[in-house]
Amino acid sequence: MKSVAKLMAWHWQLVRGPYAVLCAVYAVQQLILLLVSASDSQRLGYQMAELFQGCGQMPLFFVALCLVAIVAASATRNRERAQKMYTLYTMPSSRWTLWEAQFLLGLILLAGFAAWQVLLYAAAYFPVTMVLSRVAESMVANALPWNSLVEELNANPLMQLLLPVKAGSGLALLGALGVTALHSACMACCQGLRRAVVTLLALFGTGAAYTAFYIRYHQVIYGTDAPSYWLLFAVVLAVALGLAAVNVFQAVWALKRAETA
Amino acid sequence: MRANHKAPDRGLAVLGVAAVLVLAAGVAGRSIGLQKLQATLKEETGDREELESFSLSGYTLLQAENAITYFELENGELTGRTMTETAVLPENAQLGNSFYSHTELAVRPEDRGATNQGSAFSGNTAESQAQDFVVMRKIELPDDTSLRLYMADYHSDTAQRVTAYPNMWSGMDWTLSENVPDAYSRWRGEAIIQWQGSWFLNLGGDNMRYQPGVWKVTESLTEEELEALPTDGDVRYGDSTVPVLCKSTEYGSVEMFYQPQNVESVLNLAPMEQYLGVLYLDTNGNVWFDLVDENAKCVQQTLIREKGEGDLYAIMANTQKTDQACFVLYQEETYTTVQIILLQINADGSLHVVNLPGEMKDNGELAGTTVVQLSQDGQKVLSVGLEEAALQVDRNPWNTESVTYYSGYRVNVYDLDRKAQTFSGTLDTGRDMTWGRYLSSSDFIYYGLAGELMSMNRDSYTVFPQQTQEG
Repeated sequence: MKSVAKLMAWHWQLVRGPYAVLCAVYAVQQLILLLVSASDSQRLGYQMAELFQGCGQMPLFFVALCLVAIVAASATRNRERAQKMYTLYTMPSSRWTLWEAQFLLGLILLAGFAAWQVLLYAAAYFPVTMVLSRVAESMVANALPWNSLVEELNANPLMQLLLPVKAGSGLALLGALGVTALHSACMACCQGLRRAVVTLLALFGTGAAYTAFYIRYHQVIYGTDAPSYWLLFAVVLAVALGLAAVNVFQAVWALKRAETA
Repeated sequence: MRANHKAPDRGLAVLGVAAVLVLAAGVAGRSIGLQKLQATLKEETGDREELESFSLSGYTLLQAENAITYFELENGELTGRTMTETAVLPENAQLGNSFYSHTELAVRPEDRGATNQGSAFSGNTAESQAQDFVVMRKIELPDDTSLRLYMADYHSDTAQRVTAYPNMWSGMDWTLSENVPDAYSRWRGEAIIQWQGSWFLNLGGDNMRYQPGVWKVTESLTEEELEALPTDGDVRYGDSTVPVLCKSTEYGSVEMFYQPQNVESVLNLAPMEQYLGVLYLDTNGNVWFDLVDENAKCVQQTLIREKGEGDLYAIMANTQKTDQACFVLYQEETYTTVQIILLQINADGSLHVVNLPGEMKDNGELAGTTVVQLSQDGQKVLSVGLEEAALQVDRNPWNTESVTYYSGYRVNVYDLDRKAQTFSGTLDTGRDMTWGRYLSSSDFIYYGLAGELMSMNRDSYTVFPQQTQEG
């Protein structure tokens, strides 16, 4: 366990730069998109939650989450790794440590990014609401009741997914992030052409996992017990789990052959 | 591995702990916020004690929040709770699925041949002419079954245009499409209620096959049963002849349950515990209310209103009490509220009747007729009605529009003895948060799974169930 933690810490040093850049770029992108959308008078009547949803930030979040997985996996491709003077052969612990460490690293980076999104949302609430109310004041004479940050947190579907208030949705979120971290770890264990294939499958696999996660949430909310929904959920979940299994198999193969050595 | 003994970077641990803390704080914030969504009652005039003899409950579906709040006014106290991660109202508070009926004038079976002969086809519509029709009324019950009844015959002095559309769904048949006589194009004050496990209708009237009265539905067909019915006619669409289930064919059945004396038409019905309440107009133009038991025997009869001017129709208002009923009488031409009738069955089985003039609704003494309830002692009236808020929106310098939205509910108590309003307040069920919903000009809501990624429906609905039990 200690060696896993050490490996995680070293790999964190290798990826924290790109991770920070990704977080910063995402923050700037989000703030610009929200503020530009907020100043559009066509969106009169929108508050933070509707604006976030209406300007298409939610799909971008999931794209960024996939990028986090790729950034986490980039640790094993880092040139500095050679300077740290270890390879799969010289590692004091078993080779599987690499997979475990990358999985946990990926999970922490993903959770960190989800938390970053929550913080960004809270931080953007004030300037965005200010711009929204400026635009509204120029068009409506009455004083309008602007909702509080907490009310806007509750109205936003992405926040409902990231901040679950029920155990079931919490587990579903953990599952979706877990599948992403798993793909990330598999990517890290492969090299060359295999890595390209694993990355491609990982994109489809995480996409399927998020889709299954979202379908399940929809099912719970609307109490949909129609067989067609269950079938859709089962098929998407099967695809997600199938792709995860394929990538795990590839990672095991790659580790056995010490491809990342 | 590294040769030096520098402690490994703790940055990752810090990131992990910080992420967990932020997410936990967010979850806590959301949980508190969800509890705060509950309805609030603000008194404006009068004493809150006035509310003590009433009980009121309702559900609010907050669409964007995917939450439902339940509130209950009992002993003057408003309590509530929030149900999270659900957009499904309890069984007793379901929206929609209500009673629906419409009338169609179908071609008589004996004229079908001639109508088909004269058929012309243009675009996707077949056209022909007919002079004699049968008036058919299709009734869709809230339990998703339906029936179609032959009500009357109609003869037009001139030949009328009839149309039929193919390719929409099977069963489209010749119907009179324009110049439908007023008497058949609108049906007012139709009532359907479920009482003692059966559905009851107020059918019938002048020159109709059904006598005016209370009719009990004895058979109604599900969608599958309806589709299984054999076709019994055909329609010529251009070159092809399509077999159809004729619009003139009846299905389902009703039987007379109760016919009041001298009845002209039954205005409305209400279930009142073991009795059925029947509000009707007699041939002299007076409005009566009969309380009927399960053997269709009238146990009590009350004169509600002497003959007035104009035709009347009646809407049943929600009382949220099983021993009460409330009807609002409207004048048909002017849509003005004529009278509000509150009825309560006392513990000894007698009937307590309160008649309120219609002006009380217009001048604000009553808040509205969303819920109207009599206190247990019969001395006070609670009324709940929607409260509007108005906004002036300047879309651009030359286009100003006025937007109104429902900001919440007004709750009033009226004392019948003192003839005065003794309480007035506002019930905020979360509607006030949704004002923006009514302002957006680019107000597209995309539905379905994928649509939820790009837009959201920021609206809320409050339902006051007729049955007061908690779901």
